[in-house]
Amino acid sequence: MKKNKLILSQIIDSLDIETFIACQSEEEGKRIGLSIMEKLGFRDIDIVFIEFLGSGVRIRIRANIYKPGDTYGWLNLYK
Amino acid sequence: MEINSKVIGILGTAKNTGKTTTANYLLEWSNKEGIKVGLTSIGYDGEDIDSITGLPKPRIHVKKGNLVGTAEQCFSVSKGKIEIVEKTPVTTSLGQVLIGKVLQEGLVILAGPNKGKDLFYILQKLKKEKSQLILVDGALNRMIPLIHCDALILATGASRHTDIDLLVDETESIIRAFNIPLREKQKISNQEIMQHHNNNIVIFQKNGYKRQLKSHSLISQKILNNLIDSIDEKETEEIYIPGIVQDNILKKIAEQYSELFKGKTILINNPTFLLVGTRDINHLMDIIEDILNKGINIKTLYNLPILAVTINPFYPKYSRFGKDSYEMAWIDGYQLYQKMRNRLALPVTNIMGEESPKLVTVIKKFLNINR
Amino acid sequence: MNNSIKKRKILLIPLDPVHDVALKILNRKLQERGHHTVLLPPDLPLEEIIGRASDVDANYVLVSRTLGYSVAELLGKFIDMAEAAKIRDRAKVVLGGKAITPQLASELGFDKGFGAGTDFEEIIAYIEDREFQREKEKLFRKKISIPASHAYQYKNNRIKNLLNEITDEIIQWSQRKSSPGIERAKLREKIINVYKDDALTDEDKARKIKVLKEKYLSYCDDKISRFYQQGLLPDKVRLLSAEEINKLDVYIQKQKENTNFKKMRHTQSLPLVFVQYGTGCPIMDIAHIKTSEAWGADGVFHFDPSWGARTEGLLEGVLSHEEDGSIITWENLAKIKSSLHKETIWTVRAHRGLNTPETAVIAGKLGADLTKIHIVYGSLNGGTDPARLTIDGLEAIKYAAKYNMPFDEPTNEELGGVPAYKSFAGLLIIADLALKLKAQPILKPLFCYSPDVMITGKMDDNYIDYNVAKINSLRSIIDAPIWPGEPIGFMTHSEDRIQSSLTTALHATLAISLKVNAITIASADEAYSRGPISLSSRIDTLRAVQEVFRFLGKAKIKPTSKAKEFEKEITKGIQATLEKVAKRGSFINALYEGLLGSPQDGAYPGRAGRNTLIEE
Repeated sequence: MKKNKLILSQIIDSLDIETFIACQSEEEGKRIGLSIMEKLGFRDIDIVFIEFLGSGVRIRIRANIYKPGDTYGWLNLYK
Repeated sequence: MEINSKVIGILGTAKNTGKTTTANYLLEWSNKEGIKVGLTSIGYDGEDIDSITGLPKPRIHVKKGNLVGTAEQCFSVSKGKIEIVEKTPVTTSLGQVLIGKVLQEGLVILAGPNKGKDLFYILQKLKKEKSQLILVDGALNRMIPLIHCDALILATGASRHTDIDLLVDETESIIRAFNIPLREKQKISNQEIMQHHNNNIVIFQKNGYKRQLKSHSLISQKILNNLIDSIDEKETEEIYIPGIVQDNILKKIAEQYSELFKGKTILINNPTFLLVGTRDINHLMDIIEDILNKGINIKTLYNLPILAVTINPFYPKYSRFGKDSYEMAWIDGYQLYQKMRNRLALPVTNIMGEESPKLVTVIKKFLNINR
Repeated sequence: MNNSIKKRKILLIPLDPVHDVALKILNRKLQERGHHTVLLPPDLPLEEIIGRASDVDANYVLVSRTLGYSVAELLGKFIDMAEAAKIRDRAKVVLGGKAITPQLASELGFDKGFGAGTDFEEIIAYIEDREFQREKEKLFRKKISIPASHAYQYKNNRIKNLLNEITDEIIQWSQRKSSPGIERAKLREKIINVYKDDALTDEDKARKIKVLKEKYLSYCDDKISRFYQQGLLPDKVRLLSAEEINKLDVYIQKQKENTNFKKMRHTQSLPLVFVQYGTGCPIMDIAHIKTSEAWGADGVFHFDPSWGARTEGLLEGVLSHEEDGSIITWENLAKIKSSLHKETIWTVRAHRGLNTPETAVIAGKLGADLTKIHIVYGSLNGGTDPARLTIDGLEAIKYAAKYNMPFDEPTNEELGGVPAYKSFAGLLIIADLALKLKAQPILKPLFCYSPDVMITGKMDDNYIDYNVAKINSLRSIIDAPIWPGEPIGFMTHSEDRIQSSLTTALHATLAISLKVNAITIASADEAYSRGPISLSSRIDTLRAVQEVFRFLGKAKIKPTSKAKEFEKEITKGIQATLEKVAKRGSFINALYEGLLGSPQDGAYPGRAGRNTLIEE
């Protein structure tokens, strides 16, 4: 997790994934979306947008890398 | 073994107080004893995930021969074959309520009649199908329809209050409300009041006269003022409130108008109409005591016994991580149990613990089973 | 109409301290229907609400509340109080709110629950005790014929006469000429007729088709005959397996059960919104098509690989292609057709290559609604020999007429650098030709940031004036359907998702304002060339365009006075070009000599199919 954090340290705040997931309900789409982020190693995650229609969900899943008040890795950019 | 069709309702003070767990436990026990069981609910039970908290919920496992009263739309979802005995005219948001006989064991979703009149109708149908014991699962903190049962089991726990002392006080108050004595036979019978005077607040005078108010519920100062204006200090005997009785109005009567009401009887329809008008149930007991101490009588037209109290130390804790997310949490179950047991005159069981056989003893007694 | 509704008495209770807007709107709508309503103010204590409710002798009590922490208990108490106060003896108590479901309503003890996405009409139907035809199950669109509302009347006599002269010559010149493409089309038609003839036995069919196919192969390139004779597929092409096709059929079945569709237009009836598909794989295409349908697309059209235009002959089977464009075969198209919703409009483009008439036949036989044919563009920018494409195109137009498929003509020469007035001259020539052959042409000018416009500075200030001028110029000449594409906003997109979606949406705004018949929109991946278009980027632009319909309503975009100036220029240019072509006296030579687009303009007569004409 720490290693991941290092790689992501130059993201200012968030990492969004915009995609379309084939599923049969909004709940299923939400579950899959969240577990995708979890599988990628993210913990502070949220579904910014989700809409189910017909064949699946259009979804935007957000991983918060830095939130206001955190110690920002990118502040070391110009060291 | 003599069991007439008896209806037990499981009254909860909040979500997740263990109502369905209790129902399941009794269902399992009844099936083991070979008692013919009918099952319905005034809410929606059997889903696997709570639609509000997202946490797992207990499923309802029925066996062959059980009768169920549940909505149309739940039939296809309920796994386990159920034969439709009758389609009733009772409607719910999930369709009409059907009476079904379980042909093959499995899990069911129960969504039954949501108001008293409809529950009464469904109970009659279940009785017609020769159910010996009918279990009515409550929903949330809802209680009104359950007065059509013959007895209640009160389910409460941490999801109502995490403060144990507060919880115990409140439970005691609820039981106190259900201990309000029945109105005894008088010149005007209970029947007559039900049939002819159930729409408005009525003041019964000694000389046989009656005064009617426009309202049916005692829920505002304005109505109280009306009532006070209509009471005759000498002639008034009974005051019947067919609708809701608010606790703070009772409190006002005790504190400001006790002289006027002294010696008279405040007659309520049933304890739930008082509980539903009460904001802080844990103080209700004190208000009732105060009324009685001031020489004012309280009686009820209907009543039903609470057989036992089941407690549940579990509650869904609202989590700060992520919006609308709940996690599982527990209060001290042992402490809760001890304090409840010490305070209440009724049997107390922790529905998740080993104390459940106590519940069975109580039920057996209620059903008149001698074994 | 209002007399037949039983007037009800309705009490509306906003239990939400903040969000009572929906209830207020419902209140207005119910009053408009003649019902008697009482709307309580928000933020009243429960007892007071119950008190007031008891006074109003309502038939329906509507409670609105968003769900939240401890709200469930509040509602449970409310429903109990309503019953104790005898309100439930006379009234149905209904709960509405964002998170409400029938299950939740059941748990909370309400007679009915309405959740997110509920139409106000559904609630009103419930109150009036009648069936509600869920708008979701009712598709918002019905297939309409794009040319139906146009009379094809010429408004400019001079241009009309010039066109007449030019197209008479084309028809004359084309007499007794054929091509391998036309011969294949005829054979293909015969093959399909045999295949569909139920009077024949399977053996008879196989026999006849074998004979026809042998003839067919004699008109094909090696690349194609190799496939029929040896089973060798071209590079990057594979046959889908039986298992894949079975799974696809199941997928199509499931998708067809969907009854939820977004309503694209708001208060407008035009334009129709089309999207292109052609990922290369029919399975992926179908996934994209079904999702696009759900997200509001009126029609879809087939985009095939570029090598298809340069190869004599078509392949067979359900084929997948690793690069852009889905291969045209009877089986691929049949599969895609089988997946379409019955109200979805389907275009199969025939337009610019060596297989033009055969593609028109297949499209027609499969019941495609529209096709695409453009002789001028195909000859000058599409790489096909002008003489060959003129003959083939004519035949394709005849098939289009035969199979009742209106066809659009895209002026894609503009993208090469040809100025609009010249490409419009070509456009009108083919349109006039079509009318003579009893076909129904649809004009397709581009809403684009073309090379000519860049050089002449016509869009230096805005993208509006010149596009408006194009439409108005065409409309001043003839009353014909106009369908800007493919896509609108061509050359204005970047790979940036927002910019791409926005430029699509803005061009759509202009199209809506101009009331054109249809538009084809890009995905947000339009400018991305290193891979296929993603489904989410399709949804992005469909969603953006839907928003634009809502934004604009019946309002209009106002161009500057430059638009009128440009319009005059374009019309003058069209006429001048047609004069030149008519004077030349030979359409084919006009094409070769660059009168409708020259090398300086970036237009070069194509070579594919040169010297393949068959003189009878």
